[in-house]
Amino acid sequence: MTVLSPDSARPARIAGPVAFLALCLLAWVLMPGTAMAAATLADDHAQAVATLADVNAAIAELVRADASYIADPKVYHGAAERAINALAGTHGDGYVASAGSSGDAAGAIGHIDSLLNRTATLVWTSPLEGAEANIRAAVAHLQDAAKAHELMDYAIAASRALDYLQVARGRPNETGVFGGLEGVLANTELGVPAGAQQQDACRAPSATPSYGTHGGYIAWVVLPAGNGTHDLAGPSAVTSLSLQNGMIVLRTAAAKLVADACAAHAKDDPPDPPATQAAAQVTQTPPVSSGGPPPALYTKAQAERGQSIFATKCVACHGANLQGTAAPSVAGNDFLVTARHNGWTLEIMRYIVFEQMPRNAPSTLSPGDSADVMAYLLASSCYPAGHKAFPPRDDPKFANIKLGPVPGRHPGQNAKGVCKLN
Amino acid sequence: MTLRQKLRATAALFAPATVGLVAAIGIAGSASAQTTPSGQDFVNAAADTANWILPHKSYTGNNYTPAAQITPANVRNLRLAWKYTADDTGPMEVSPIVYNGIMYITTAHDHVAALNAATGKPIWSFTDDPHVISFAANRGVALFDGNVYFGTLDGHLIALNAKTGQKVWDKVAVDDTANSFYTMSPVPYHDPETNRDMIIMGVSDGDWGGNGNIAAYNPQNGAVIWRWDTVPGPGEPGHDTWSGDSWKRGGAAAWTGVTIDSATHTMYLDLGNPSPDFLGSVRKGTNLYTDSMVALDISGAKPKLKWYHQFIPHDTHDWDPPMQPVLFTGEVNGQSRKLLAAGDKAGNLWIVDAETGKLVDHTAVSFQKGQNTQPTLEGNIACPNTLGGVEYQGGAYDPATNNFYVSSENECGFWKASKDAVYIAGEFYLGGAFPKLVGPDTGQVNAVNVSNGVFSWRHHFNLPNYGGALVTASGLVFSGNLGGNEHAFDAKTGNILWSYDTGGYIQAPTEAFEVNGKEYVVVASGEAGNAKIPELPTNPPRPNTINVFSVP
Repeated sequence: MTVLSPDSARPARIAGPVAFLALCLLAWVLMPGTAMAAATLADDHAQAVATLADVNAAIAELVRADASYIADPKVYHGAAERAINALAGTHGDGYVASAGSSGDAAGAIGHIDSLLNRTATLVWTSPLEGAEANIRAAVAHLQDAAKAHELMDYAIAASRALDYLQVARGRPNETGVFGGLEGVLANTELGVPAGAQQQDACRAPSATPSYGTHGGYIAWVVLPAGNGTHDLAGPSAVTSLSLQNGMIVLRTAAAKLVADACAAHAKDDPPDPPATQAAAQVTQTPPVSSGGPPPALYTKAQAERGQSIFATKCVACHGANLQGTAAPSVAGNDFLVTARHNGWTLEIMRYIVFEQMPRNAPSTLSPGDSADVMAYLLASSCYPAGHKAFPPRDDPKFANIKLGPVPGRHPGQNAKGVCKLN
Repeated sequence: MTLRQKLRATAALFAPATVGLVAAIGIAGSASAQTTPSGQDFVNAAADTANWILPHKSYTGNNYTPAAQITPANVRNLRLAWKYTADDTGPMEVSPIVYNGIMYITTAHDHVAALNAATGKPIWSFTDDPHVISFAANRGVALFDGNVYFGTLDGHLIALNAKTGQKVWDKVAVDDTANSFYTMSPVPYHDPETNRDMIIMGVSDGDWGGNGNIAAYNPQNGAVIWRWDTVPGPGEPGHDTWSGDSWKRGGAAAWTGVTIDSATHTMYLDLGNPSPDFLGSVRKGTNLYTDSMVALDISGAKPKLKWYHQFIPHDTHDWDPPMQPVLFTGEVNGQSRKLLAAGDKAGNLWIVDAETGKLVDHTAVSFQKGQNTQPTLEGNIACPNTLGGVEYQGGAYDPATNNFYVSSENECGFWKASKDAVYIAGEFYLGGAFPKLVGPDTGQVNAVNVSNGVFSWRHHFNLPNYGGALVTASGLVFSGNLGGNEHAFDAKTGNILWSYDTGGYIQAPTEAFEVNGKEYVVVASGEAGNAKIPELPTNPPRPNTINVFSVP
């Protein structure tokens, strides 16, 4: 995320696309203009907004047909087909070209697919996956509705589809899968419009208008407390509203998650100046709301020994940068995000290193050497060093340690998320 | 519906959002015919001296070129015409695709490049660099409908505009991205029955606890047209060859190549090993259709199994048959017969009858030992190890000599099974560990007489020979040795007539093509990847290159 200094702020100009405003949550667009704006998510934001618009268009079709009180089956079939088209898009399964569409060409599924089409797992990944599953289920029922012979059959199929679409739309006061599209727009960085200012939500708000974000979540939105109207249309997820140093701070449903994460980091790391923090933000690290700091599993001296073993036994396939040449990455963002996605524990990583590696001569390293390599890999993935060495024997508690990106800032972490030994 | 409405409807149905209506209408016209081959071009690929448009030359899988400018008499003058150095790490396993003077290549981390085939000058490139599940490899692209298609290490199918390299669509096509990915070249096919174009692709997931499938995708958007699962589910014939629930993580990946007899609408596939690879006790039975060749009738809406031939029932050594089936008409005992050749990692060359799948002949082309003993907890030796035997680079049949040419490796392994097989998402599902290499690692290029299964000649090397075989109508056999030398052999005698040190390790097939009437030979070379053995020096690092030769 981008951290702004207070003097780079400009007065707020609040506006918002009608569809977005009418439908949801913290629907304002904090207009651009500052030199340092979060540009990376701009297109993603537009895709997320368009997804919700398509889902709402599909819902509106069904509601409109229902309210028409016309018995002509063509009206109902047409409504179901147009709803399918808004959801599936012009090249999705089930598209009915002759029916027209109240959505856009990509369709809700097309937008979600392009948002999910990336290697990284982000905080909005599972809510969007859930929304897509529900939208697909709705499409299946709408296909029944479009073929229904009797009005009653239509009504049953269409109301099932509506159920799924409402879950897909979700609600802005939930941060997880139940939040659906509205939850994602209200609580994650997908809700930050192009060019809007962002600030690290672990710090006090210092500029208006801006979004306070951390680890991919929006914790608060801050507005200037002068006279004027701010268009906050539709349901919003504001959990608290406070006046702070002449600014209005609206906290989202994700504010608590972020506050816990910030508190956890504060224990690990002394605060850095903002400049280095901006550079360190390379992963979308989710806040860890409980469990405290990551475990210290090895000693520094052990990691150094492991580094020289790695350089002779592992480097040919896994690369000096640990990102893999012929073989996979073994430290950093790609490794940790995949490990989290696959549900890997320390026990599993240990099993692979001790029992499966090196691939052409498995378990040829001594248990002590394998433990040293583990230490080096953990250190490279930014796990902290401690006073106890990684043991050559298995430890049952390893099965309870889940691997994933280590929260907090890691000075010297490179663009691949690999920490240097220090 | 009026004609105009129809046109509009068709355009809307097929237009990928990023291309727009004009390009979509152009698909049916002649605009794309120049950038990518037509369905009929693929049917006629074997006779095309200029272009190399399928991974193994034609749908038959026979690496035989009618191009005959380079001959036993002039091959000693073969010189490097150009060399392209790729901006990627990992092994070079690509079968370049050459069409109308442009060569399309891939490298291990799903980088794609279009090169001028006469000069090597880059035209465009595309870089993906996805997450690697286990090992990085990409064996090439397909050209069709104006696009370049390829699969990725994180299970995407991607279409690029063949002229510009811009992405047209991108779709996750595997069931489970934790354990499934793509390495093979997609195969374009025009179904004459339904008049539909399709991209055929099989998934690599067999050693990671997935089940294989071969599927046909709509080239316009990646939608599935049909899919055939390689492990029979409950109620299907062959399901009883798996004990208990073992079929659910049974393997049988379709990871190598697709052979099609376009006259009979039959598809031939060689399917991967069963998993867990080394622990047979948890999957009692013969484990169909692992380590099998299957013949599928693809004339209907979905493929139908015509016959299967299982080479290794209940394999416990990861000895699947990776050589794409080669369909050819050869002479056996004085009779001309339609045959199929298969090669497996256990070191066997199999010849079967193309109509029935019945065994015609079998020749051991690698050193074999301990093949009837399963890996034990204490460990035991069996040969070859998991890297073959015969690998995926392909074989060639030459009607002039009635020889089948195939390269092979002699490597031995010390194998260990584990007490149980534990499925870990994203990790090998082996029930043991990959074997440790034992003894020297060597290889050969073989010419096997199809009449009787006896060697016409063998050329032995001190290093494994993964290069497969390309045979030319002029009587040459090309194959690259792992050590880095590309060789040309006399197809009749096996004498080496030419060689060139590429400076990298070779585990890619050799191909031939023509630009402006001039014949070229191409082979990729680079890092050793999984083929790394103690005999290879680790320093200096080997550059990843495409090497193209011609006679000046």
